[in-house]
Amino acid sequence: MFRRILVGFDGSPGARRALHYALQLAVSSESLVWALAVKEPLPRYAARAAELLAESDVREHFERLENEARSEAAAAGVPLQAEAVQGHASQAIVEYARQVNADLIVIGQHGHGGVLDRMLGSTSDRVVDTASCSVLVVPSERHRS
Amino acid sequence: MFHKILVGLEGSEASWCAYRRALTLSREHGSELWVVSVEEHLPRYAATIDEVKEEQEYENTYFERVQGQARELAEEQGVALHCRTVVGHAAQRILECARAGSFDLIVVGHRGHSNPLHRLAGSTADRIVDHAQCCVLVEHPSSVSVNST
Repeated sequence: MFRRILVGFDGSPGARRALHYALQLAVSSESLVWALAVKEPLPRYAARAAELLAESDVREHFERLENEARSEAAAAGVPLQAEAVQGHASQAIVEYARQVNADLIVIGQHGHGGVLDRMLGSTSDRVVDTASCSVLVVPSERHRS
Repeated sequence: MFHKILVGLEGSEASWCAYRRALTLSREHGSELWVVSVEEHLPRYAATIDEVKEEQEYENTYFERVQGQARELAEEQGVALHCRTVVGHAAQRILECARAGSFDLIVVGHRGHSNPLHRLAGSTADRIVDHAQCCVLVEHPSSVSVNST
């Protein structure tokens, strides 16, 4: 089935659900899993200096995410590599999937905020459109009955 | 993991890729498998009712053949397959079927964007991904070799 699974993991509830599905699929197919967190660019024009997180806070945040993914995987008995990279979410996920030769990307579903998002598409749309492997989109909890 | 899987099948290469993946998933996870084919091309402004009937008969025959092939593949793998044909907009109908039948996975093929208009309007897969209340697997054609295992 799927042997090399990449999951987009930003610590959000949707991403946690995505990680859960990725690990479940990995257990049944003895797959390798990569958990990728993406550090998106800082705001170009911030009103206050406090809007820009200190570099150490950012590092701590991503270390926490990586550790969370590792401990979930260890509990499920799945080998997982966690990494954080800089870039735009969809581009970085698709690019990383190519690098590790993933045959499945698992991501959380994101809603649309407005007309502009509708036209530009969500992160999940862009990953689905540009990925060169299959993509599993996991819905947010609010959709579940 | 997935108890009920719904796959959109209209006979294109992309939809066959999706079907083969759904079949493998269904076999491995013991899931109930359903195929839905959507008749999208009935004429809206026909000169006579016969024109609509003729098109509908043509599409019915076409989908019967496609679903027959799908059944043969399912039988080979020992999977029980349920088929449905509905009329309407592909994404809308697939989403409605998934909701009504409490499916927990929809599998669709990825066809790519052939022109800038599709890029703006989004593909059937995009619309399903945006509005589905369950997991959606968009199967990429490059995964064909994996599917056939």
